[in-house]
Amino acid sequence: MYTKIKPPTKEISKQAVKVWRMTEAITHIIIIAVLIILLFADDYFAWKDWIGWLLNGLVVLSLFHSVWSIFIEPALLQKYWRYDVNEEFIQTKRGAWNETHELIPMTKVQSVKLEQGPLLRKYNLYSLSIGTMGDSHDIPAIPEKEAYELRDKIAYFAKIKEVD
Amino acid sequence: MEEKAKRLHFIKIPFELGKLLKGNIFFIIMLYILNFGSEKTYMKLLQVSFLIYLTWRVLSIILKWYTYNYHIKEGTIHITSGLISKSYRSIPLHKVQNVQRRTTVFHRIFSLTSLTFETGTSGDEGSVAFEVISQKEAERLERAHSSNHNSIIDAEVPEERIAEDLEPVTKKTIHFTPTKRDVLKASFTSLSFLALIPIVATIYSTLDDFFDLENAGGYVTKVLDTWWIVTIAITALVCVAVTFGIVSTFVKYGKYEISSDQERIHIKKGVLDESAFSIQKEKVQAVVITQSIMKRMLGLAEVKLISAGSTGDEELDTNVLYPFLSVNRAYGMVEEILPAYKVERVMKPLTKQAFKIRMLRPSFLWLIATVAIYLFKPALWYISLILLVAIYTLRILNYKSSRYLLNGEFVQFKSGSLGTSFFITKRSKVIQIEVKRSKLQKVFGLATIETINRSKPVHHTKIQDVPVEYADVFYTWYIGRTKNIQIE
Repeated sequence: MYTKIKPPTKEISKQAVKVWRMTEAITHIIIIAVLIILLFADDYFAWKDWIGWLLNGLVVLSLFHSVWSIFIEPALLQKYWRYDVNEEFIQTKRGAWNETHELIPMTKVQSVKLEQGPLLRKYNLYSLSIGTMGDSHDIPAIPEKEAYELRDKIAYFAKIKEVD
Repeated sequence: MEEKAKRLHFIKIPFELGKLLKGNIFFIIMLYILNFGSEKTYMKLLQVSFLIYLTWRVLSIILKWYTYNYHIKEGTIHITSGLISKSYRSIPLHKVQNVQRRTTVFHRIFSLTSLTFETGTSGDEGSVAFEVISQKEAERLERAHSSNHNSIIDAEVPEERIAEDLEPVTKKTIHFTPTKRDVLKASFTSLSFLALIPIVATIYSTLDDFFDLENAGGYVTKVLDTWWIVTIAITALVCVAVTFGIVSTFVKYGKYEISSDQERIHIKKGVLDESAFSIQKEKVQAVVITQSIMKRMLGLAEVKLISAGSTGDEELDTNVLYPFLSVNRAYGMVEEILPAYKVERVMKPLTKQAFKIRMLRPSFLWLIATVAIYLFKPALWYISLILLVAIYTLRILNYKSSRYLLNGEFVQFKSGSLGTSFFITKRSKVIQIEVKRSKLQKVFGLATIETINRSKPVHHTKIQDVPVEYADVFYTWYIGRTKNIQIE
């Protein structure tokens, strides 16, 4: 890949790892809490056997999954996420194990939007979402100044309309 | 072109009333026939309140018809509707992606039709339907649409092309109408005679409700003993099934007509209920040619035009050129109706590397099935084996039929194991591309390439396990699109 075209080079913020770790931790705590409540209910109301098995299985699975998505995944995600925006295209590249390269023509961009949840706000980061005719593409966790610049840049380039 | 605002044809009112009656027939019979003159208070209450509801619906149908107005001004359709909360819509005609016309038997009686303009906008707002209008009015609207397009072309196209455009646009070429042989072939390929089975089953179960067929067994056994009655009965049944198949195929595909003029393609079909589809050539987003296993054996194929607008009822397949064309004719037809398209039949096959990766790639379906069999029913171990053989057969077939090619402006993909599907589109119509590489593909130096086209919903097409060098070429090829897109 990328013998003739320059690969995307811009990285997303290192802080993103912390944000993702926190988000994942919270999500998993909630999921496991719900499962544990269900387990107690199972014990108390004496539900059918297989329900207990299923719940135990789910708890084990989500424990494993939480190790993966809290401690390993965020760092990999950040390390391999690349993007670039020029006058004509938006390029993204992501994934360590399964690599995905996307190429979106600027003329097909219909909206750009910045989003910020409470955790992103803590680190002064924004996630940029680019809407095209087909679907929307997110570039997660960009520092504030860069995010605003990027949004304005895309909005400016996307103004050139192609006949469809 | 200044004109007065128009309403839909007044027959829309009885048409809607009929629909209302049909939808509520059960309640009407329940309340006003079966329980007529009932003494019970709650029944009286129900009767009165339902009557109020019906009156309100009837009134609203009339008012809706009365307040729904449309007119065309400067290439835009303006629609006002609503009595209390007014709604005002305007639809620029050049945004229309395709036009559909549907004439049911009901429409025919009064020489009416229904016309729908499909725009590419998502949601319900995407289509503009004129449910009941006279055929003359429908023609006028369609003309307005195409003439609007002409004026834009005249304004934008450089001089040398105007000379070509001077030819009358209405010059229509008919590319295909099915012969009797085509209909016969179609009826056998689509196995339409099998459609009789559910009908017979329904009749049987309905009869069963009235007569005790289950216990008539003794009589049936007696009949079955006489072989000649059975033979006659089976022959008769086969005849009925085949006739039924041919008739139903004829009703559906009999009066097919594929035609085109300078700028649009028209597909017309249906003997009783007519449906027509038309699309501007440059609004065709992509073309897909599919072959089911049955069609592959008989050398037939189906050509589908992908439009950015909705194509209406899924079952009607309005955007399908005749689904039983011979393969060569099908490929030829693409170039014939879309002169801008060049279809290259010889495409690149997958490499040896791709074959290896496809043999090595773990099948999760098989793994899960095998584990499940091992855990719950070890006696059924042979199912796991059969599944494995089936999966590998399909993989080999898919490997053999997969093809890809970048041909100047065009990209062509072909894939499928039992049934195959061929896809061709122009670079300018691709709205996004993706290249994907899994760990295994990296080891073998392969990649998956994917195009996304406008449609409803968006049309993804991909080909797995092409050499990574080709994926690079594909990526570079797409970057080159900026050179030949038209900019407003």
